[in-house]
Amino acid sequence: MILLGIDTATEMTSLGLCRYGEPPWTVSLGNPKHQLELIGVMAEQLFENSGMTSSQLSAVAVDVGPGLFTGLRVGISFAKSLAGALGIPIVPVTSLDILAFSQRNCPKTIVSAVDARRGEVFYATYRKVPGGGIARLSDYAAGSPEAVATEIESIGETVLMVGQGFLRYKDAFSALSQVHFAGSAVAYPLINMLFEIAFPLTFSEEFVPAEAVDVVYVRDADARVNFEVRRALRKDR
Amino acid sequence: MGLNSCPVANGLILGIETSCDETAVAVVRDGTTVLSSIIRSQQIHADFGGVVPELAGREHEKRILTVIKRAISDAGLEMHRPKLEAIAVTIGPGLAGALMVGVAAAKGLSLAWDVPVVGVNHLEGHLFAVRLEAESIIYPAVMLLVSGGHTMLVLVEKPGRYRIVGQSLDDAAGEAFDKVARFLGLSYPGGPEIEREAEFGDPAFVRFPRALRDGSFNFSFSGLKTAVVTFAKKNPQVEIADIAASFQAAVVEILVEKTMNAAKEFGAKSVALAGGVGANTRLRTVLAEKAHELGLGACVPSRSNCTDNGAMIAAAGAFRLENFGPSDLSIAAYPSLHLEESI
Repeated sequence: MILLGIDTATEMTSLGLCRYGEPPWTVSLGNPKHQLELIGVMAEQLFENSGMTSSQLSAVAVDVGPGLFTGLRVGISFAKSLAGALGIPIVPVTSLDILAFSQRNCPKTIVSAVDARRGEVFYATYRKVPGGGIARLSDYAAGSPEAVATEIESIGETVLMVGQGFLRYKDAFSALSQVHFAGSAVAYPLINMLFEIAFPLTFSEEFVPAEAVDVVYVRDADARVNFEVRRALRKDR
Repeated sequence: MGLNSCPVANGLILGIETSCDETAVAVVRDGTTVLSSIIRSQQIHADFGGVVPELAGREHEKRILTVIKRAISDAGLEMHRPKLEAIAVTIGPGLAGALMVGVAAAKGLSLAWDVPVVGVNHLEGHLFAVRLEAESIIYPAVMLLVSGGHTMLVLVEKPGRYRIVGQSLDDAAGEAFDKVARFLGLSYPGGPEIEREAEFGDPAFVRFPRALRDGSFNFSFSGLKTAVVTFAKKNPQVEIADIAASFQAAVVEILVEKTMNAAKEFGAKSVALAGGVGANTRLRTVLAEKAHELGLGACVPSRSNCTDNGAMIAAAGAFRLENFGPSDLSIAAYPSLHLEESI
């Protein structure tokens, strides 16, 4: 079984090809303005270097966010059309799940976060479960670093924080007493982790048809939010 | 030289268009014969009185694969092995986030099917819509390209050889339609709404200004828009229909007048219409009439070939492929691409 993995939820563009049980072929570049330029070329190089072909793929695993909207749409549109053209399904995995999964052996509460722009982060809370793996305890949410810090403090126990969302706003969290930061090496979603999550899901056929995949936006488009606010104000008058 | 004599390899091209608020995909043979053409217009923007870029990107991403699949199957092809010669995709100009969805999707298809990608300039696509019509066009031609984002007169010596001889110095014609419609309390998009109202109005009710009658081929519509607003405010008793009809008459008159002047100036043998505003009935009729009076050929593509569609992108892609070969897989989106620029 061979999977193609794609991740464009953050500033990184990461792709990988992996035959189950073998080490993955991965490539990762941190050039946020050029994800569209890079994605096709990187995929082509992976196929060339690994000797695998697109017709051998069983599924495409893709990070569906939350994260940076434009980048996510590049990765997901690419993944959808590739999978749709090959007649194979997609395994959607969220960015926050990938980040938290990298800390799955930690016995503490895990909070993962990615940058959401507009001075906010997307975040979610996790806990290790028996038998390996993690369980998500909260919805995916967006909040200011200050609000997230208050929420983490209210957990009342030691928390492990992972993801570039925390590193970017480190100042907002440095005053918290009971927190640890996972380092910058695991701050971006790793393709290896995506594969670790996606293979079992593929085996148990927990995938979806390519056209059914959608971005996990969490936050509405600004225009829509503003429109609702204006409408509410008009009603008030 | 007739357009149809332009040689194109006997192949199938998939055309993808996502530059604004239409998710459109088509399959075209030889750059002329449309085998399928699917256009999904995004309704979501109506509430906002204009296209919201983030929402456009979201809608494109949501629909793109469904529209591709439909275009492939309607053309009688199989999704897993469609045997295409190339995938043509709009690379600009347009909304960055919208364009990127189409280009990313084209790359995914390219790798899956092992078929090259051909990047197409959206404006050149509009000019190639005439190739999808039964009647061929005689060159040199002056093309009037009018849409929500552009108003320009293009001298086409032959396909691929373009010279912009005039363009709007402020609002595009379609933008003027939208703004006037919004002011009159009509919904978005404004073009069809104004046209519907104008049907019951008197185009000679009030003579709005025709700007830049200075011998140039440039346009200006912001003064006209202001004139309409000022008039309507001063004369609240006047029917919207009469204002809409008079406004439409002013826009059409100046567009057609300058097109004909440019045709005379540059010795064009024919004139052609392109772009979304080309769906306007009065513009279509008056342009054809005036061209006939002057003994010029006139190519007025069907309405669905004027508004954004994937078939015109496939047609232009066939030409690009034949003359310049496929694009690199690193091709991106170029939101402010010019017509005379090639990537």
